[in-house]
Amino acid sequence: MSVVVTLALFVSSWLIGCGLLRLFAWPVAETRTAKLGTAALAWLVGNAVTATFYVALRSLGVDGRVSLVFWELALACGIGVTIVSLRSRRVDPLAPTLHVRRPRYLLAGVVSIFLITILGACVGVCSCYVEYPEGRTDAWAIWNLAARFLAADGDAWTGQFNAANAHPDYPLLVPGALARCWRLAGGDASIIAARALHVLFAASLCGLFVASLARTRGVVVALLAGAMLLAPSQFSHYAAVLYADLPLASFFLAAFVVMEEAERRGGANRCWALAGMLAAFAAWTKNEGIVFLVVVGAAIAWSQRRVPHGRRLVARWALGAAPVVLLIATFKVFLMPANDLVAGYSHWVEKVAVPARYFAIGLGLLDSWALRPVAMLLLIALVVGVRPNRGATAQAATKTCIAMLAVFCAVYLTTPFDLATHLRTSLPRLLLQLWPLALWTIFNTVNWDRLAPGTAGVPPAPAMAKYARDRLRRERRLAR
Amino acid sequence: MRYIERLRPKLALALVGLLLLAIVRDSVTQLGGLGLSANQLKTHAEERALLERFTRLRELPAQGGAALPTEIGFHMLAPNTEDVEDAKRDSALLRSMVQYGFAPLRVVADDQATIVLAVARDATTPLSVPAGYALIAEAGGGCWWLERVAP
Repeated sequence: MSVVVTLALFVSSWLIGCGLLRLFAWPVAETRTAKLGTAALAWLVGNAVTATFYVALRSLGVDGRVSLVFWELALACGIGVTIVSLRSRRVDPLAPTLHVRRPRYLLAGVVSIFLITILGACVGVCSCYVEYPEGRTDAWAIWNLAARFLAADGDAWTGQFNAANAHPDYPLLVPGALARCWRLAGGDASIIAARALHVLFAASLCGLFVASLARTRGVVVALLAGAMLLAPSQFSHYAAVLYADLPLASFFLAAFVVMEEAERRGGANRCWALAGMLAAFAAWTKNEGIVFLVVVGAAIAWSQRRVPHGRRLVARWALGAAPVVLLIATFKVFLMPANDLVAGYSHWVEKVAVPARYFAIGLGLLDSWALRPVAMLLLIALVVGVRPNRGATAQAATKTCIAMLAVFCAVYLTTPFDLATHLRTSLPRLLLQLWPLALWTIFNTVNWDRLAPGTAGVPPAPAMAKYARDRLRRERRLAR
Repeated sequence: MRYIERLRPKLALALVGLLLLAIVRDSVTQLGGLGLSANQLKTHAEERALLERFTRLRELPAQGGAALPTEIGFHMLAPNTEDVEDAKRDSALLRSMVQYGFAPLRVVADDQATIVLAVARDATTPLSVPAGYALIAEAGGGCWWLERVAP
């Protein structure tokens, strides 16, 4: 029974996500790939919002299952009513996608490789389930334990913030999502729900990634990128061991996918607020997300400084992020103890002056799993060249990836922990967090059309002109 | 110069080919995990047998009046993080318990390199570390101290 209720809760999250996408004027999906992307994005948004809402309700003292269900229904109704009152049901279709003739053998080859990588990833996930039935150490010592606290009766949930626990300062989006399932479904804290949650996060990430690239760079390039995303064993491993790194990577990617769509549509539309909210959800997923939020904010402000209405759209982005940031700040200031990494900082000036530490970090990066594929892609970019007129969002994505990597290196340089242990235990996961966004950025940057004309490129000019005419007509109709 | 320009697409195609080969190789490696999983299942059976040695675990309800142990936490104390990591990796007991289906509550460090089992009252009530110690004391009037067991 609890499995059925858990499934119903996932569906409910997805429906709430769909409603929120309408509310934020996310364009109507017309093609199959666009529908896939919209469905994945709806699940990410809906799951994040319902998890955050659950944690907020618990912190306000709402405890009973019936009350929690009532408030979630109220949230869904509230979104529905707002959509109707704002008349947001009529929104633009997505900008035209590519209509190019692809050689059939090329498409068949890429599809086959993509299917093999999906199969490989599924096997990888199942192998990890056998090896780690309860997830790996951080899963049961941090994330699932936090979920157990959040699902507990009465005030027991505040036990999560006991300083004796493992990392009680970690954000609560993933534990909140799991606790919502456990609490509302009743019964034992099922590991099946945790597995389903993490697999859905990984699937949404993959769906959004492929759909987004299919729209901008064509299906062949998108499937090639999707195969590359899934191929490293780290992807399936961290999807199966119930860590929060892949959910975090999902929000990193989703924030940029939404920003790119907002940029394509032009003007300071509501999608910018959605992008801000997704970036803030990254901060509510893991502490690295807080760094991401700051870096992305700075990158957007810099990239949009010369764009017409640039300030307005940055303000919309910040407005979207604000409610979640406020929640995070409340928890960080009033409930959560200090982060061990921040609290333990000392003698950092001496550490910065030690060349061996730079050498160790450099060696760690050179030895990492992500180096070879990224180096190969960069080599291809060097040979083929960079796409002209990439847009401000693509440039902001490049800056964000580089800045995030720089921040990670700076943290390693000054870490209060043993550097070798810190690198060994966290570097593969940190690279995985950036992996989808970095791939998305590189695949969006490389000029694939020079390699094989017709496989990727910009939509044909007549299609863009028709799209602009349709948009203008819709806006006039709405204005009337 | 013109020769380099002509060579460029071929070089790029060769690089993409290498990339595809790398992708397929990684996926095939993951598919090979099917055989490893079978071996892993066999290892689990051995670890379950190891767990059977902890007969005191089965005596818990009789001793403390607590419900059947639906959750078990264990605490290892060590002087620094590195030791904790080593202890986590090395402890066959810890792995066995996790794989046996018990959800441990928390791991901390102990310089005595011993493991404490804490039993929760029911599956939905998590334990903080102090509460875990209190419950151990309440349940049996002491702790179940287990020597580290070699696998």
